Amino acid sequence: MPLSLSFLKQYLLGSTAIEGDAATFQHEAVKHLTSLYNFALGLTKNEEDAADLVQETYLRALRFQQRFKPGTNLRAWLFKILRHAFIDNYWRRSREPAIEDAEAEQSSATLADVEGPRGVQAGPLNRLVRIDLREALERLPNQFRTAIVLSDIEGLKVEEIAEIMDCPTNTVKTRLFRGRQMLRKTLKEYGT
Amino acid sequence: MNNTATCQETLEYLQEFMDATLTADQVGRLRAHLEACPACAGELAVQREIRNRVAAETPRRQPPAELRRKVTEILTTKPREKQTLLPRPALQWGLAFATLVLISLVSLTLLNRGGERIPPILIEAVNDHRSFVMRGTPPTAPTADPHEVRNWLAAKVGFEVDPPIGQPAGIRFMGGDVTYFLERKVACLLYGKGQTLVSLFVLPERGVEVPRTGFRQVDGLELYVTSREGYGVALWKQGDLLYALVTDLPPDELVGVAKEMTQT
Repeated sequence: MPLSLSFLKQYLLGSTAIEGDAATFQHEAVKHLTSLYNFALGLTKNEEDAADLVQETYLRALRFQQRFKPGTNLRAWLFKILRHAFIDNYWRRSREPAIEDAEAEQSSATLADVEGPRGVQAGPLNRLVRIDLREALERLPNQFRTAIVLSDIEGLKVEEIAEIMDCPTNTVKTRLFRGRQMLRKTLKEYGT
Repeated sequence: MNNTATCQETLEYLQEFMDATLTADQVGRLRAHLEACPACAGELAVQREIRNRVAAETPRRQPPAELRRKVTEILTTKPREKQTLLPRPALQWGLAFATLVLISLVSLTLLNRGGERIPPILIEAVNDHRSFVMRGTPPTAPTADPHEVRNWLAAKVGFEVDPPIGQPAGIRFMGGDVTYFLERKVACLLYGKGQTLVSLFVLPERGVEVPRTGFRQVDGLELYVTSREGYGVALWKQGDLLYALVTDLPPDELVGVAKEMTQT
């Protein structure tokens, strides 16, 4: 592959424009730290792992900084890197969540046919246990919870979530719709 | 066009309705339906209620100060290339000259090695395989379901690829990706064998330069096997497609994997 003149200029001479871009990138990237940390907490359920995941996200973002197109959605790009880093690390430990999610998605074939969250059995005994919304959210299968967190807490739009989760927009909408119905059902049975 | 949406449309666009990303016309159609349909209006109320509760009852936590400090440190660390740049113009031009000489020498070596030019596909496939290894992220389509990847790739690259499974060779299918080289879209199928990544690049063979000699018969298949920059590469054609398999498995295993892939 031929080396371009701009690459040679960057590599050999450096450029104030490039350094300016880098400074802007760093300035903008750090603004999303709180969002990324909360997203990582939701995925890992552990402060230490969340902090590691966020650091890895920024390291990767910096490494692949040249792939980011200025003017496009930096926030969604960072979320996507974080999610990939999580999947990557998680794959090394276990593949169970992916299986659980696939089953959960298959279990609800239509918008009207909604199953309750896995592991939660409705019954008289369970009615003695009350759970709040946060706990109900954590009981959702990963893909449903991720879509809801990105939409309802982080305020991202359907297209952005689809980009982050590598899936079609209709899948995002279905996950949001069903996920909220699952939450409501759980809260009705166990919460407030 | 009907001025009222159906129940199905309303449920389909409920999220965009709440996000306020629909056009005025679409909003009007949904509103008209919601006013007339208690079931859909009830569903909207449920979705809104849960959405509002999620936003209100899951307060965001501030990242620890130590994490903030570390992230700031990461972001203010200059990329390695820039740290090693020489500060003075004379040295910079010296380095530029030396690099250009080096590039020329390497190019001449490549062009003259064995009297045959190295086909760009070998260079590109190895470069892309290396970038997958270095990147360390899962494939863009991270699913082990070959049918899902087949459909995903067909929409992305414009030709159909049936991912070989390769199970008998102990290979596990990890997913698909898309890359660009030789000015065309190339389908990438990623596999794992133990801790080793195996990349299979698939592209229409028309107009792609392949080695003129060196193909050999392996179980009825014309296979070209070589090594480049420490990676083993196998090339073969099937139908209208050209396949390039890259991995750092030993040569005999590489051939075994290639054979399995052409048979599944």
